Amino acid sequence: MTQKYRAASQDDLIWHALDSMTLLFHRPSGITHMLAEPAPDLLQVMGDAPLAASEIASRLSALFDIETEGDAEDIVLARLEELSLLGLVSKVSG
Amino acid sequence: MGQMHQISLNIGPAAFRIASTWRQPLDRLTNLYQDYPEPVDQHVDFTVRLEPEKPWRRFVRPSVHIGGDFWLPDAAPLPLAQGLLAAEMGMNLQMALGWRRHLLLHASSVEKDGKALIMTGLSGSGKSTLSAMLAERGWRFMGDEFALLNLDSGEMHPFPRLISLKNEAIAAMQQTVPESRFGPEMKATPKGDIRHLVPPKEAVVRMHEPAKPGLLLFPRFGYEPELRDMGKSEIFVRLTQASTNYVALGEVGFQSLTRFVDAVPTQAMDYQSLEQAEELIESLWSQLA
Amino acid sequence: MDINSMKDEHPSEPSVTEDQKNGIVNRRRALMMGAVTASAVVSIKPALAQTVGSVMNCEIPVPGNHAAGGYIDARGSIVPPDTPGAFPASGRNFTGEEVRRAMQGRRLPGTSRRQSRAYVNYIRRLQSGQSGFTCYASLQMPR
Repeated sequence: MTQKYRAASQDDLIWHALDSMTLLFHRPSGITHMLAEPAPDLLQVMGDAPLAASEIASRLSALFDIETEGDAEDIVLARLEELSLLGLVSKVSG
Repeated sequence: MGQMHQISLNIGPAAFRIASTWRQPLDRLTNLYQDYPEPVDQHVDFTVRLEPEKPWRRFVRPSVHIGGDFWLPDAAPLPLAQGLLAAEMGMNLQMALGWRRHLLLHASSVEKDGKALIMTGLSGSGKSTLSAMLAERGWRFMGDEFALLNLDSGEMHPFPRLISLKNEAIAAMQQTVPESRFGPEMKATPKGDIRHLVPPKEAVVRMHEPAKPGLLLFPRFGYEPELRDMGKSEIFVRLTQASTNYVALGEVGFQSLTRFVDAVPTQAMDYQSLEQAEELIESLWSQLA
Repeated sequence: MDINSMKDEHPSEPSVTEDQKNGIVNRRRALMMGAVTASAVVSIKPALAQTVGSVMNCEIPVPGNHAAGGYIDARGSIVPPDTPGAFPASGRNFTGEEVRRAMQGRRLPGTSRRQSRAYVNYIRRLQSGQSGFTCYASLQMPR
């Protein structure tokens, strides 16, 4: 059973782009996060649906020219785990 | 414990009651703040309490514990001779922990042409001294410890308390400011030698006049004079570190600070003397729209 | 804020690819994925102690009230009085400044080298709620 992830609802998030980083205010926690690539785009392509890391990697490849030294899916998985620890992404069973 | 003496002080948008077991710190405060308006009514925002560290320290090597509506554990007491400093630190503590009507930045600020120059940085960056110096050179003093950012309008609001001068800065300001505007000498405080300076009268008369932020500076004393651009991300992070209430203000704090960082031109400024700093500042100021 | 406006504000250069079947030119932005181990998020969480540290001078009693009467061994644990090799309570509280300097290699005032090290180890092990903890925590953060 592949783990699926769901991004926090857009209603709960306020985005603000700065130069190299993107600010994200998470309303439920009141915490401000600073995101570097690929985190902002990763959260944006997820929309509302629960998705597996492979599906998210596919969406990113379709929209962007991926530049990566490692496996894109591995990296997506690592970032999803990071974001879930911060409450910006939740893990969905089934 | 016995009767406590008390006075009230109105500075910018905040009103304080200072209650003290001893008269001396209150007498000194009353003297230095004599040109400030009396609080309009009985309302105060905060009470600061100066009390003996232990009951027997009221008379024997009198030791002042700084307390009040807001307090911190592990606060170090001060000798009674530094009671004035204790009162000022007590007011700082109330603002830092309790003020919610503005976003607070650890910064000094001065105003010219209707715009505010805000200077923020670590202890020793010289922000207090720079504001004291500029206040004597044609700028209106707005504050040396906290800069207050209005959450709706984005303007800076004055909060002109006594200016806290340390070590070499005391002698530097004594060259241009009459002795009557200085508080008592306090040697060997936790922050070194300190003397307080009463802000110029104009600062007090106009202490309810806000100003749009015009320039943000990160000064650094003791380095070859230089001006440097800064990235917005770095500015934002450093300002959250310089704010005592950014997190507590939640979404409103986020909106205020992002708007501020987007709009306000910012420079890092290294300098080795007040004269160099003034030159750099005036050159930047004249280039602003 | 949707994905399209995000793209517009991003500084990366777009790359141009051609879909030869349709003759459409797709301009796609480059996306740096970084590495598996490279964290992409920093949370703004200035601790109370950090932001107020410059406003208030604090001090640390060694040991605190929770351990009054105890001695301090070389590792900084509280041990019964007169335990061999352990040090008695310091006669005074140490200021945040003094402790910071001790953590950078100097000695706490009025102590021998081993005594200073024992006290510093005790301080490093302070827990939330114990006397001196807030002061110690404020030393950890850049001012």
